[in-house]
Amino acid sequence: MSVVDELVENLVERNAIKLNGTLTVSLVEGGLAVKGRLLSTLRDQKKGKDLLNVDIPVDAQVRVSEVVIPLPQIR
Amino acid sequence: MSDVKAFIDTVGTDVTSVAVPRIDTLAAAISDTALNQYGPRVSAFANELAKDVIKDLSVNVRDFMTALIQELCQRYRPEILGELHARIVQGGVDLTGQGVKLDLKRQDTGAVVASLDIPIAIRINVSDLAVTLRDTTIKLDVVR
Repeated sequence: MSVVDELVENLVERNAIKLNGTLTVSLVEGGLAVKGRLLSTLRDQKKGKDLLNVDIPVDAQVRVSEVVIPLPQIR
Repeated sequence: MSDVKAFIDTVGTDVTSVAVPRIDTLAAAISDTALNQYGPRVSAFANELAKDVIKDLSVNVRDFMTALIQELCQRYRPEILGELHARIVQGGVDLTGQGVKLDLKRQDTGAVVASLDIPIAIRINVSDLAVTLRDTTIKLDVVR
C-alpha cells in the first residue's frame, strides 16, 4: 500500500462531512428551480475538531419538457 | 239612504256576532272528527295502497331496468380518445386536453353513434417546497 493510499484511507476514515442548510424547490415556467444555501463542515472525528467549512450557494434550474399522457382505453 | 245603510250594518254586525262563533264551533268539531277518526283511516288506506303499488310494480320496474341496462351495454361501447398534456408553469402545472372526446360506438359494427368533445384545461397550483438539512452527516468508508 502506497503512502498516498494510507493517507487517503486515514483521511476518509477519520473525517465526516456535516451538511446544514435549506433548499427551496419551486415550479417555474418550463421546469424546476432549486435555490438555497448549504453549509458543509469537514470534521475530524478522532480529534473532535472541525477542519474545513464550505459555504455552497445553490441556484439551479431543471428544465422539464411537456409531458404527454395518452388517455387509457376503456375495455 | 244613510238610515238604511246603518240598519243593514247593525243587522250584519249582530248576525255576525251570533253566527261566527257557531260556525267556528262547527268547523272545529268537523276538523276534530276528521283528524281523529277519518285521518288515520285515510292514512292507513294510503299506506296500504302505496305498499301494494310498490309491491306489484317494483318487480316489473326492476326487470325492465335490468333488461334495459343489459341491452344498452351489449349494444354500445364507450371509448375515450385523446391526450393530456402536462406543462410546468410558474407556481403550478397546467393540464390541457388535446382531442379528448367520448365516443359511443355500436358493439357490432363499431360505428360511432354519438361523440362528445370534452374540453380539459386544469391548473394545479403547487406551492414552494422547502428542504432543510440539519446536521446531515456523510461518513466515508474505504473500500479494501
